[in-house]
Amino acid sequence: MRWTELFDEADRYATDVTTVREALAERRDE
Amino acid sequence: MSDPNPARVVADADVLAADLLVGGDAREVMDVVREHSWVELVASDALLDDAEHVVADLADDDLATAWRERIANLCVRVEHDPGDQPALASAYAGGAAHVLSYDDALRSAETGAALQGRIDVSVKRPDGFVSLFDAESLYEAVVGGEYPGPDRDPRD
Repeated sequence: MRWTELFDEADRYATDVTTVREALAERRDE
Repeated sequence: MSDPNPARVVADADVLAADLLVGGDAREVMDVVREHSWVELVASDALLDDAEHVVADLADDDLATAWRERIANLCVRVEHDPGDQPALASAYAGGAAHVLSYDDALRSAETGAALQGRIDVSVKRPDGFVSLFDAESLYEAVVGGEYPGPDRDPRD
């Protein structure tokens, strides 16, 4: 899949950096 | 101390996932990598695993799998010991001069002191890297000759 298609698909799940940071922190605390 | 390559960059998993799911400065910094074949993204499987997990968690498994396949083609892959901080260990293993992260702790003076003498790496936020990135001078130093401009489509 090209990057442009990935970004189009990802638009449905658009979020913010804080949420990404929290999800990564949970992952690394596992 | 290892001699880092100024054209080698590690993006921590938060930046990789934000490139896909947020955009903004994470996408700007990743576009720098995508549009210059001589700027190399360095990552370990552990680092990509973390980012893929975040994408699957906040989006879905299909998107995470598609992202992993695409990013794997962009990366110089390195290995490090389990339990190491994936971004810093990838930089060490891959001789990268830059680590990009939103993690304040990773950019702290304490971390910098801990790294001093082991790896000569600069930890920056994506916007900090983008504002300092000078393609012309870096190209001249790393590749040689006059900078021809971007040589790849960052959306391909």
